[in-house]
Amino acid sequence: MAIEIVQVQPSVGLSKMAVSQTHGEGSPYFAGWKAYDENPYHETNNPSGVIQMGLAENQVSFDMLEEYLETNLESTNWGQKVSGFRENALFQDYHGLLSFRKAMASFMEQVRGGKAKFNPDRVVLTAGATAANELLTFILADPGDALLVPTPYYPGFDRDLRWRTGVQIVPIHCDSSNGFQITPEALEAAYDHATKMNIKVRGVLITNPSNPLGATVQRKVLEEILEFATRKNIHLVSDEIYSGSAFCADEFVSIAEVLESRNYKDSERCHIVYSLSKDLGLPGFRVGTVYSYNDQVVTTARRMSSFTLISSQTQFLLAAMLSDTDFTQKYIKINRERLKKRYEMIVNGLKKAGIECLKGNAGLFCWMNLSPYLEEPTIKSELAIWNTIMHEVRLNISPGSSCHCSEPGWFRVCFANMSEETLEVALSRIHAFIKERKQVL
Amino acid sequence: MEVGLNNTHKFLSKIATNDGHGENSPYFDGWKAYDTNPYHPLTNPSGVIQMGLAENQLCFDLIHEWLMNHPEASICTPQGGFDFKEIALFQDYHGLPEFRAAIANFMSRVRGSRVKFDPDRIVMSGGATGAHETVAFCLANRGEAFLVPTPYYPGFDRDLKWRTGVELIPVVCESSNNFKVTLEALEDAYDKAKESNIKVKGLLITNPSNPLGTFFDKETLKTLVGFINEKNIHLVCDEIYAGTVTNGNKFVSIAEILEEVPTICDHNLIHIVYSLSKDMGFPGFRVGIIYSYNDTVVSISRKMSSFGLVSTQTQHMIASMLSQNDFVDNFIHESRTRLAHRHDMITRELAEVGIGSLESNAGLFFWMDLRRFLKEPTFEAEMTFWRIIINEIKLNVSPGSSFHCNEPGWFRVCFANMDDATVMVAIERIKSFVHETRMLEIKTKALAKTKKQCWQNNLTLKLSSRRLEEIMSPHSPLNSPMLRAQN
Repeated sequence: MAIEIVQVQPSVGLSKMAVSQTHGEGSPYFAGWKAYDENPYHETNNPSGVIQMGLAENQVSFDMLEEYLETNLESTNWGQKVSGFRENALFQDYHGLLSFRKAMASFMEQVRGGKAKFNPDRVVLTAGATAANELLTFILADPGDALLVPTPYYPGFDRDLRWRTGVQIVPIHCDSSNGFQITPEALEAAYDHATKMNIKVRGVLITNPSNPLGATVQRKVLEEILEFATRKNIHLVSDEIYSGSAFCADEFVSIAEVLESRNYKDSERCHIVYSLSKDLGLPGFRVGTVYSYNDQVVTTARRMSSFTLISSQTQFLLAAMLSDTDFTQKYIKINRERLKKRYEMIVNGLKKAGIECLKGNAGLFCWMNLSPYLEEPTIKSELAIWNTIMHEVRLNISPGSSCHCSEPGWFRVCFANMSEETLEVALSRIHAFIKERKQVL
Repeated sequence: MEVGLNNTHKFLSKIATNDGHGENSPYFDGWKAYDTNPYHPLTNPSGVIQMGLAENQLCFDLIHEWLMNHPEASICTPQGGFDFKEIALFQDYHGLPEFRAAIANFMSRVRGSRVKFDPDRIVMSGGATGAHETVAFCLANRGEAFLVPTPYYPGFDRDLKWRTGVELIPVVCESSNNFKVTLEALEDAYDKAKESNIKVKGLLITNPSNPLGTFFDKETLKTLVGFINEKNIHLVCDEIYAGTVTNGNKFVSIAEILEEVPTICDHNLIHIVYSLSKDMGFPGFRVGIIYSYNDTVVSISRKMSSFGLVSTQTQHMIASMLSQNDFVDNFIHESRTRLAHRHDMITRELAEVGIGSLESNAGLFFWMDLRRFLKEPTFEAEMTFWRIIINEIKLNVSPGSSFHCNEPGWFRVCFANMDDATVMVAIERIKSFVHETRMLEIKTKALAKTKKQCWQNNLTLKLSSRRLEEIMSPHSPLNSPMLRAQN
């Protein structure tokens, strides 16, 4: 992805928003992408190029999607009659294609092994989770208010939740002492911190499974967060974009399940964000959803989705694909297995090189601990080693500081956006690097 | 699994709980009436005909034919399938280069190739809806304002104001000069804003105009550019209907003004909003475009486009379709021809029964003049009459008040979202109504002379006496010479 570093001209007459840096592209998260763009690895054309390990993409299951398309030409194309195309091209109802909403609800149920039910009428469609998170923030908070977000978190949130909404993020600090799990104490501390700064807290936003940790949030923790949100009378947003990427279906517990088991008590404050960008590997199609248990939020979100509807052409294609439950069952199962295999491959490879990772069980990345190899336990040292890894080892990985991690030395390393061969190359480069580093230290 | 509404009003944001979504406007009431009783030639021939939706349905045959001949444009066919993975993964907010090139090409050809567009200035958005909101976010802070000539598209109230907190200040245009935008009206609006301590950041024009169906002449455009340049405010030109101009060579885009007279203004102030929803008839595909001559706006709006990118599946198809010049040129020509034919047919038929409209040659609608049908020149009378049109004539047309028109009695009537047969039905209904009302007037006058009251039983029309009173105004066109001649 090409990022421009813009020289901001003395631009007379633009908004404050336009000249602020809240879009976040100055972050190192993006600088690495630039290095990759300028010198991308290719196994034959550029074998010494930068390997992209900073992009959480799922490329391990495309063959299944392609096979589906080959065998389902009829249902995925508009057919011979002009009316099929016309109807689809004209369809701009912000409720979305009913068949697609039903298919999404069904897919979300399947991803959760049927442990929670989803009502298609609560599915609001947006162009990607990026839009869904921003849209929800507009609905739940006023400018100047805050959302509490556990660290480390996805760098994109700084833009998605704050930029155009004027809402703030107050971090819930998590650390390695307990595997970065969210604790009631950390929740309270964050809330108090906001209150002291005279900032009104409107909600907690968690990502489950977590990005960048690559781990699911335990049921007990979910219940504690829900209890906290209820006590403070604030919202709970659960971004479950990686729900289909949990390696073992049983280990992922959705907030939907927690709510269902309590007969939906306190559910009016709960909202789920989902997307097909990670589980299905279709980020280009811009398919996101807000699923809210609050009627007013559903209605308002639907109205706001006018700014960010999903192309009806894409809704049509995916309605066909996702309502084929034989296909989706198979896909979900095999996708999990392949991701698990990849995860084990990278974690074992890193271990052999002397690098530990957080014990993960989901996602398209692992959370790698390089703190033993830092000169000092500081962000400066973290960025120094990151720079070396980028320019000398030629791997683009994401430094924990760009994810607002409070402990230096952690890095997010993606493993699903490349072939196994490329992953092997990356691992051998890391191996060589660490070997050298050990000698220096 | 039903969850009750949360009863604490403050649980959600102000944006979520105010009226900024705009759905309480009468613009949408007509749609509701249509939705509950939609016309269908076979299953519901007495239903409401939708004439409140500005859609272009006249050329789908051409597009369909092209698609059938170009299976590679779809990533779901064997011919296009090998692109599937690459397209599905591509999420760069610059968009597919071939998509940008095709859009730039199409925009140029719509303007008779009189101007070129730079693909690197093409920025995607979630339809023109998303484009307008994004441009407002880029150009104005909360509480600042855009000037907008009236009458204007009701959606602007939501698109430009709702989440941005930006204000809209009307530039009042009058029927006395065919709703042209005058320098006087602009200055007036600007001064009013100043008096209210509101900072004006820009002027938004829709060219061709919705709802008027007219486009700006070159002189007026130059005057507008002069105005914004002098005030150092932005000019946002929504050219979403550029391809619907029936005498294509007369339309002047702001892009042409800039090219003809590059020194006319600071180019950093000029921004175009476009979309494929009207010219191509693809509202479902959400292809919105921001084209700015300001580098910073291009860069920032591109970052903001992350919130409303065009599906790469759609980008891929559009790239294929709009890069084929034979197809594009033929499409543009055919579309114009069919729109002209439809427009001329309907306005001519209505003129025959004394219903006039603003002279126009663009858009998917015309601006119907029903002023003389109103009992009084008030908006209440307009609303009353509008309800009659929906409930009794069974047509959903859009009342001028919903477009912030300063004068009651004008209605926007869409004509390109239906087939020929339905147009004829709509025309017949209007003609019948005018005729029946005329007959009723004659009868009433005759009976009044003889002072008999049994006319109520003779009524073959299903008019309520209340309604009759409302339409039998001294300004009724039923006294027009044309009608008298027919009878």
